[in-house]
Amino acid sequence: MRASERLIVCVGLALISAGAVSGCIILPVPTPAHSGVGVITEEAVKSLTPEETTRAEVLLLFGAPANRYEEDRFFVYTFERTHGYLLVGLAYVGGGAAPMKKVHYLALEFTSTGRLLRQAFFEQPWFGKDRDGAVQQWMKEAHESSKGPDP
Amino acid sequence: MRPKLPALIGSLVAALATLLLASGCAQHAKVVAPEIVNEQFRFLRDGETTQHEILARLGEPRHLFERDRVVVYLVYEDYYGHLSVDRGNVDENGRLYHLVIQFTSEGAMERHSLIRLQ
Repeated sequence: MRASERLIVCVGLALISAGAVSGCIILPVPTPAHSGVGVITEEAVKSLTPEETTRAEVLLLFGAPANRYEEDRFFVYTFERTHGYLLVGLAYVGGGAAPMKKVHYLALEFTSTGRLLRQAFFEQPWFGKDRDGAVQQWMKEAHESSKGPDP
Repeated sequence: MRPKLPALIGSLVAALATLLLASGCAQHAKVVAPEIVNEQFRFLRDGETTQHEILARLGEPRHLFERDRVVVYLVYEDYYGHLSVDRGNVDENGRLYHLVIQFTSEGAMERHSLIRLQ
């Protein structure tokens, strides 16, 4: 955990403690990642076969991607999953719950003949501005690996 | 003023009840059954409908792939369950789909699917 993340967690815990003392309960409840229409599951991706599944078959299965790069060499699908709930209870007022959502990415690379080469899942970090940095890095590495070693 | 224990318990119960409701109502991703496509877009028939006919009826697609051999339309579902490529009165909370159509090299519809986005 980075220093900035540690600081945010500490501040969060302090706020929760202060809230509890004053009669306000703020409770983050993590759950297994779930829910959301349009979520692409690991099981669905397992049905894809590298070197066999075509770009058209991917489109028929998942629809159009959120982003496409380099003449459709790369597809990136995005979707949200709920990772828990933030419970808030206020004495004499009531309570509520808000889902804690994260953006997930499915990145796919295709061959020049339009067949699936490889795929990877990524998820947005809770903190930080570089939301899809891992996806961009993955595409950069794909470029480097496709160049091959220097002769 | 210190909050009373029953009030605190009440707050926690209310929060938990909301959590249960939220998780119980969660929906999962799905590819919609083909018969739903057929009901709303009866003219779409694999192996028969032509690209020209689809273009004339549905207009320009939202996305084009594979040198126009795969097209994607954005489809809206209204309160009554009617699907349309026109947004009409569907609000932002309405269901949204991608209608994906693959054509043969001769321009006939080869396969199609309807994928729910939200």
